[in-house]
Amino acid sequence: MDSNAPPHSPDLATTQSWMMAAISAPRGLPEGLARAQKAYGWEIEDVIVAPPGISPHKRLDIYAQGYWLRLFACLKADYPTLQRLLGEPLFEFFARAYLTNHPSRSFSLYDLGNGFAQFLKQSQSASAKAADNGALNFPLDLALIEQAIAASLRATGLEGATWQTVDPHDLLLGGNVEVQLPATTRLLMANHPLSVFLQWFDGNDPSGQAESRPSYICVKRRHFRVSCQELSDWQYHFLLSAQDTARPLIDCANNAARQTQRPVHEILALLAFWLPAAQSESMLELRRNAAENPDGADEKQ
Amino acid sequence: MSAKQQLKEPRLGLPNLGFGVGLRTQHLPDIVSGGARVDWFEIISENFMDHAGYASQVVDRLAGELPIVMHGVSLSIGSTHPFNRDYLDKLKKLADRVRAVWISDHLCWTGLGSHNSHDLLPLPLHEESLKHVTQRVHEVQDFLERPLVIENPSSYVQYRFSTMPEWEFIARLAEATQCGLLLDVNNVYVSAHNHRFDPEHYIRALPHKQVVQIHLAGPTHCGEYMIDTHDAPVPSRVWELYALAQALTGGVSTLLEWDAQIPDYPDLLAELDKARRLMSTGELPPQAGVAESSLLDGQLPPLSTPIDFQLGHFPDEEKSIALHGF
Repeated sequence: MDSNAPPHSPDLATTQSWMMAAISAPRGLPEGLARAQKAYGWEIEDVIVAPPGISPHKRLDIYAQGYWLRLFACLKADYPTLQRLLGEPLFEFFARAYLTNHPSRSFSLYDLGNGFAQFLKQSQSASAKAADNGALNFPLDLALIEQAIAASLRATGLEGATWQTVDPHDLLLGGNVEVQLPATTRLLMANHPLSVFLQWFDGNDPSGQAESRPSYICVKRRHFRVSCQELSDWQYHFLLSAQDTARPLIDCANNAARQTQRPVHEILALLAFWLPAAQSESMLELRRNAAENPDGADEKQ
Repeated sequence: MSAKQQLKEPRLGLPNLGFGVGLRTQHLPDIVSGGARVDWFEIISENFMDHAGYASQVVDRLAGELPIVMHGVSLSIGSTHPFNRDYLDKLKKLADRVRAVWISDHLCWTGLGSHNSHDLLPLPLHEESLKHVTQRVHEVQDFLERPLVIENPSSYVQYRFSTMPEWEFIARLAEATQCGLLLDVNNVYVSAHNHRFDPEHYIRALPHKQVVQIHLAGPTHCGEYMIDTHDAPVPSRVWELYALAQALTGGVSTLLEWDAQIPDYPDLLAELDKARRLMSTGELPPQAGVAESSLLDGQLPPLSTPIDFQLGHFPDEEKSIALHGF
């Protein structure tokens, strides 16, 4: 409150726009104030008052520094291993670039890091992409896995859901059964085996270049515990078919057969052994057609 | 009780819930294994709107055992941009789900529509902003079909064109909207230090019949200013302000907040016990100073509005406990 308040104070909307411009510039308060001055014509002294002898810059800087510290802390919480791998300065360099290009538009901090891994991938220079360098791919893959873990922790899973026991004959024939993935199951292709990522997740910092080979990774949640599992190519393509919507088992098997160039009967034979285990791990749901199970018999929790 | 009757009651007819703490994911294993040991919990609304993980399941269970109050950080009641309808829908659904005794948020703005700062930014305090916030509180109360409870913020700057002190703004807002008030005595203490006003005058000037809850927390002293860090024990001066507020209100719900460098659950309960003893014996807790942060040149200040509590991450041991169920 100031008795020397200007007679025509700016409207609330303009005041808030000035404030956001001042506190959210990538290079800090001086840049923010310059931008705000250019857009609205006000110096900091025109807007902010501080007690006698106290700099308004120092006070406004609490908000300007807090803006970035808060958002960095949020990204570090979702990507703790990536932060350890890159080191804090490099992580914050990328985080600042990401947040500058993608400021938070959500009421929830859970959404803040949703695009970070993809942003890192898109930020790779063309030459780096062409080099197909394992050292560059590793942090990108790691970021994608951490993003999947964060999403799996919060998504609606199968805890408390009932699931059906499916007759092995139905699995072998691929008929009358639908496959659906819960939102807690996430599929990724990576350039390194899962074991290398797990060393980092376990808190180790392995030295030397990471072993490089294509891998298929599933992030899944059972009883609220998130874990990762490396899949075979046919398992990955089978699950991928049902990632967004429930699909007939036979369609998923056909897709896996096409992608891996195996006969579909071979895929079905493999599925008959693997699917019950995958279902008990809450990786997927198997459901018989309603007509096949009118009274919901054989349901388990 | 009808809404009209409710507004005539002291504290809007809302009960004194006793002594509670802010529910933090770090404490879930202790609470699941050892029980709540508090009268009620306050949850951060945004943590449970789009979260279907372990913490949400625990909250659903706790909601059947003791009162839950919802405390938000993203309503942005002072923003000049329209409300996020998706947010309001989710707020209402969550309140129904956990049978929230009341819903609170801060007198602040957090962003401008397409750009959220996730901070609790102060408002200029003048007739236009009072009219604006009054209209927005009415809008939210109509939507939620219950009184909104508004918390006084801590702040580090004031606007040149403010024309009234914060206590007058809040008193007039409360009178115009019949909203409830969440009196954060730590925030009063922090802002009083930062803006050089008398915190007791602030507390005495509020409409005490509309105060439904008090927040306690510990700030950090950073030289000429204080930051609302919620990372330390409650200092003596805040206990004095708490005692004054309880005397003026006649006794309302007490909530201890601790959001960074979070102690073990028994230590948190020990801090809450100081409030219990003060209310039962009238004796102030032993002398405790304000945590200090001596900033060297180039060092960053501690973070106001810490976000640990907004993320709801699980330590590994919590995941193990979840594996075995409860």
